[in-house]
Amino acid sequence: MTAHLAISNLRVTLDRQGEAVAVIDDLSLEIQEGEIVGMVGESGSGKTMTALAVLQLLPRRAHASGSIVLAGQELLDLPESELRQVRGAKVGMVFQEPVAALNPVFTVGAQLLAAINAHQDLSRSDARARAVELLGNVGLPEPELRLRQYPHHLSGGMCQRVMIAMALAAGARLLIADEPTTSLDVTIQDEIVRLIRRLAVESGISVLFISHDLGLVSRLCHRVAVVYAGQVVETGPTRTLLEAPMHPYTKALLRCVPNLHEVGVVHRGIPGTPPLPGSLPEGCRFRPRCEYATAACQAPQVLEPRADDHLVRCVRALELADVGRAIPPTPTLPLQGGGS
Amino acid sequence: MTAPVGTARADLDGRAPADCLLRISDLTVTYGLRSRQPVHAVVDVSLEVHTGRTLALIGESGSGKSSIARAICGLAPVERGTITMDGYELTTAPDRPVAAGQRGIQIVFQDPVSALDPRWSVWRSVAEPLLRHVPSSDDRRERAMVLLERVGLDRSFGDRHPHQLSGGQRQRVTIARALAPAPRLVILDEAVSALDVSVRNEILVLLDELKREEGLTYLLISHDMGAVAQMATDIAVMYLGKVVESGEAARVIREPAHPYTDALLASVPTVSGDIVDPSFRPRGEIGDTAHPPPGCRYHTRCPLAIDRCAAEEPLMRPVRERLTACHRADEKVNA
Repeated sequence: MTAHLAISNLRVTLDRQGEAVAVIDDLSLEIQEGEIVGMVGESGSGKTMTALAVLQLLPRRAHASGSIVLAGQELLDLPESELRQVRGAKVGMVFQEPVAALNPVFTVGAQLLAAINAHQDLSRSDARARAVELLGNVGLPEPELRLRQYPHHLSGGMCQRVMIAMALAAGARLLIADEPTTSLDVTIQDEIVRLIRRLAVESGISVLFISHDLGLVSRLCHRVAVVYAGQVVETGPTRTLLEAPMHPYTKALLRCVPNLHEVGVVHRGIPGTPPLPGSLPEGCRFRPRCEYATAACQAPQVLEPRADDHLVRCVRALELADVGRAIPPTPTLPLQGGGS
Repeated sequence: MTAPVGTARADLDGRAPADCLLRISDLTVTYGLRSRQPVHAVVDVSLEVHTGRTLALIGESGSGKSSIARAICGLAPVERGTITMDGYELTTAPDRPVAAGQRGIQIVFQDPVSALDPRWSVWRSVAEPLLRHVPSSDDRRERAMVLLERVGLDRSFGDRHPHQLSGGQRQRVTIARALAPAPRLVILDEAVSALDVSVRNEILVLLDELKREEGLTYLLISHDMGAVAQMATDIAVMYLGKVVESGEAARVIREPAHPYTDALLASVPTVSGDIVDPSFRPRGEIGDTAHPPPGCRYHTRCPLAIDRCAAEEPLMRPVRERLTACHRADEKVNA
């Protein structure tokens, strides 16, 4: 089976005063038709850069090498004129700030119609009908009314639904969602996540879902790739990563996920900060923050298969498999009186 | 005036209100009071924050939780009701923000980028609250440096500027500044919501440490249930300007009595298995504060709503060792 999107050995460098600094290094990722893949990591780990590389929207001083194949077509050496046929028509993207992504001086309808007309030759009435259909499809009540409204009439959650409709307006088969729910309330976040899941199931589109929240990703995605300092450090089916995480970074991220069974217990985050591009530590990039680091970690780490369909970039992966298990067995704690 | 209801302790445990640090009684916050369409962001809310505890105010955007925080600090218009800090009435003070500061209240906001002056070195920002009290600049600088160490930043950070700091480091700086006047109550208004999960937990660990070591009391305002479950000792759930459930954190989280509390908990992305029935998910989005629905304000989204909910507003009453405002709370039995 060939993947709908196959990123292989992607390397993105930024030109910093004549010096090429790698922000993404040897990153590989595959998304099948109809599959939702989550990309998880902290700020600065290269998640957004990967998304921008797929769309070839990298900053001017960035250079990408490796290979990005979308539906059999190599994107990295496409000329700009052909890339326009990829963006929007084949790949739709949704960003973090839905309110900022919409133009406040145009109606929702004008912006959605622009997205429809950019890639399709439809009559006015057909385009309008398509717009109503798209808004209905993303669960916006009263789509006819919404078309006439301006973004400030809509809540953040509604704006994000409009953005998703725009991203899919031209029939894109790959949706890239970059932290699409970060600025939204939990209740709305939950609805957006379930909307994306429904769209993927119903119309078989592929989704690359980028987030720093492993809990959120685990609600939605079939597979998860955990990235750290521009590299994938662990990848596998969601269930495998949640139940048998091997990389210490994945284990640490899992500890940060809310656990409503343990009220009043403050969990440690991950001490320290991710390394800056250009000043990476020797060997394993997570080593300075890793509680299990040994001398063996000073050698560069390779992403290796450690179990069935489970790749880990850690020399101690197998011996740490049972250490610090992320999900404690569901406790049935009695209510405690007072905490003081 | 009715007796203050709020963190269920005083009402349910029969404990004397002596350890009550902040008391909010029948507070109504109204924006545009003299306009044609005044908006009641908070309506008749009563709450108590007890010394040494952490009261979490939770609810969606538009529930009025931030308006309560701003009203305490004198930054939002109070139409009626009282806010007393340690017996001192804050709402009638001539300069409400100054009075709140003098009575030992400090606030940490969500966005540490806009909360710090980009032109000021970190130590000057931290020492700003001391300007009136510590005349010597050298003394202020020294105090700021000690505070920075207190929040886990070494002294070299004092001479840096905000743009040289990461988001987590900036939030540590704003916490250090809040600690400068030695407050007793710190309001954390979405103080960790903008941070990455890994950084967020590090800040929570710091806040927990500071609370114990400095004897602080927190009012935690958050839509982030992960942070709330870790930090809160008491919870008050707000919906469209009203408190709908309040009580001890463990009780409210483990056996919510109000369907809205269920809905909030059901939306939390956990990996430890769903704690509540997903059928409690709310319908649609939070209503308009300017035009709240009649009866129970949540009935338009509530999966348990009956005719009575649209006609009659439920009052806060004790149900299973906490207070809740729901007509059907007794029927709803959690496993």
